[in-house]
Amino acid sequence: MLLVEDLHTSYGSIAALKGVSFRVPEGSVVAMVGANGAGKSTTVNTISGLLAPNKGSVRFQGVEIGGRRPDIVASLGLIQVPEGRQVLGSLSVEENLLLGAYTRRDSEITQDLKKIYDRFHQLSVRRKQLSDSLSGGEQQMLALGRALMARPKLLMLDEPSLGLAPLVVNEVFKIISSLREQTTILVIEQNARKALQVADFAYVMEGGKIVREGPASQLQDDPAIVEAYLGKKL
Amino acid sequence: MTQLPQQLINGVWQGAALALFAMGYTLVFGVLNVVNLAHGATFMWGAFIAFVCVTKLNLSLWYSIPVAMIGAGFMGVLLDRLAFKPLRSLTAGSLVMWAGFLVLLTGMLGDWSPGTRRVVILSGSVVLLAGLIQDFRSVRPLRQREVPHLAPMISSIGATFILVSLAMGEFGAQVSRFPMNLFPIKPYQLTSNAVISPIQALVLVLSLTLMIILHLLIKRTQMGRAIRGIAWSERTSRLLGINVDFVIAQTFFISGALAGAAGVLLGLAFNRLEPTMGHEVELAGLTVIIVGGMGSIGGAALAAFLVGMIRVLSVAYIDSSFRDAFVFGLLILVLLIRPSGMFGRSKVSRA
Ligand SMILES: Nc1ncnc2c1ncn2[C@@H]1O[C@H](COP(=O)(O)OP(=O)(O)OP(=O)(O)O)[C@@H](O)[C@H]1O
Ligand SMILES: [Mg+2]
Repeated sequence: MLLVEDLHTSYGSIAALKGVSFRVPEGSVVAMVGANGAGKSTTVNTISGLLAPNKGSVRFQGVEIGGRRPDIVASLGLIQVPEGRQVLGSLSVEENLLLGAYTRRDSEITQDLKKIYDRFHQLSVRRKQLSDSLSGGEQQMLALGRALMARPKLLMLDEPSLGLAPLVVNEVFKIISSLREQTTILVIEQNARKALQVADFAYVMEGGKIVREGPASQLQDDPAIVEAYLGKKL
Repeated sequence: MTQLPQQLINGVWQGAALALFAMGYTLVFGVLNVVNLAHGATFMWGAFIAFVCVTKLNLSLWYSIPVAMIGAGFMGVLLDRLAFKPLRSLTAGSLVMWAGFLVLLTGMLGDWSPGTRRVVILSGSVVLLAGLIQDFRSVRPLRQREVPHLAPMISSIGATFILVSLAMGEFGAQVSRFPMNLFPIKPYQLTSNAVISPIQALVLVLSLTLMIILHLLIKRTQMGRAIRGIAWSERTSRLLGINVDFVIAQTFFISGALAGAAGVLLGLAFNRLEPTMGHEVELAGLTVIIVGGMGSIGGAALAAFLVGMIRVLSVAYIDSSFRDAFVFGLLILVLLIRPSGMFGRSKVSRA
């Protein structure tokens, strides 16, 4: 569904991606793990069109989208939930959700809104509240719900567990695995343990390159990965 | 003090028209974080477009007002695409637009025979339009960057000069007036000592109607949510699939149309049109949007009534030469007590 080949992106003269290649097959959950500054966010932002690649290709459902405007990429059904959630703070919870459906022209938006409220109860209680005033966990739910309102074909989650309490992290990953039937997912994480539990396939990124890849279960048991990303506890 | 009710009424209708002007002003600020100093020139052009409709095209006032609003709205869009957007993201279309615009200017201001003039103006407009369409369709700009706030402000000052001199060239520096028979003049008696003329009542009713429409547009539609979303975070809005430059153009259209409406209405009420008529309202409008809290539409509406009232009362009871002193006194007072304005978010709106 998503095919990234030899992607190079730089910030001015600083190269952040140095030839990244990976694929996300339709219906799967793929994880990308790596330490701070590995280039994970740069990768999703290049795919989303916020950054222009210097070289390489991004194909989504067979269409080349590298360097396209972000709103065009989003309207193809490739939706990113950005790092740090980025809710629109001066808008209410409900308005954030409705804006999530901005690219849609169909008549089922109110139905979907109701489904989101059923799935995320906290949001339905706070629907009229400014999203700025939500807790971190609630904002993450809102960011997820807002992305789902677009009826994404591919959902890219950039560090959904960042800065959340352990209980909330569990909840977020529960939701992610419950989304499997609905959409294809690429999840970026530093919390490799959790990410590898939900994913089918995983890539490890380091210094702007993919350094390891394999089925998630296999990477989970790999001694090198265990040591570098999972701590000794496993 | 017997005339107080009368002065209050004057304050209300003038405040309402000022609110139209200020709401468009603050709307653009909210989205771009830029003060569009050419807003006053758009206001002036709105008045003159209606003037041309009435005197040259023999349209009735009821058609002239919407035409002026649409004209001023497109002027807002052109302003964005010529003076603001090229600074944010320059496209080949921007360059073509500028070329067309320069030809158009030479056509309008140069010393030509009527035939040549028409050809030059027409070809300039065609090139301008082609550039505009290309600019709207462009997928990748030639250059994209963050601009310091000063640059767009200066380019809007430049735009003001151009728009004012175009009006000077077209209508002369003297005062133009709508024909006297355009509107009934017999005032309505509101109370024993207060009257409102039909034109003032029109200003009030139309302004309030447009304020309500704007409110609904901003609060209830996807476009309104997108406008507010961009004001919070342009980047996040892009990720939601919002074509930010297009929504900004829509914002400029609304803002320009409101300025145009205010121009026609105040032009009619005082029956005094001149190319420099935007300068004074520009100052009052700037005070209003600062007092109301930069970017706050509701705040601008309320502050406009306050400023309108202060202006009217200071002229009536003190001296007309003190009018602006009182308005600026309010400005300084608010800046001292609440620098973010009466209704401004104390938090920075950009996270
Ligand atoms: N706006 C920027 N300007 C310059 N360099 C940047 C910018 N954003 C990121 N970088 C650099 O690019 C590299 C990759 O950053 P990126 O944000 O993609 O990492 P990441 O894997 O998402 O890290 P994290 O886990 O901390 O989010 C880093 O070395 C970073 O310093
Ligand atoms: Mg990151």
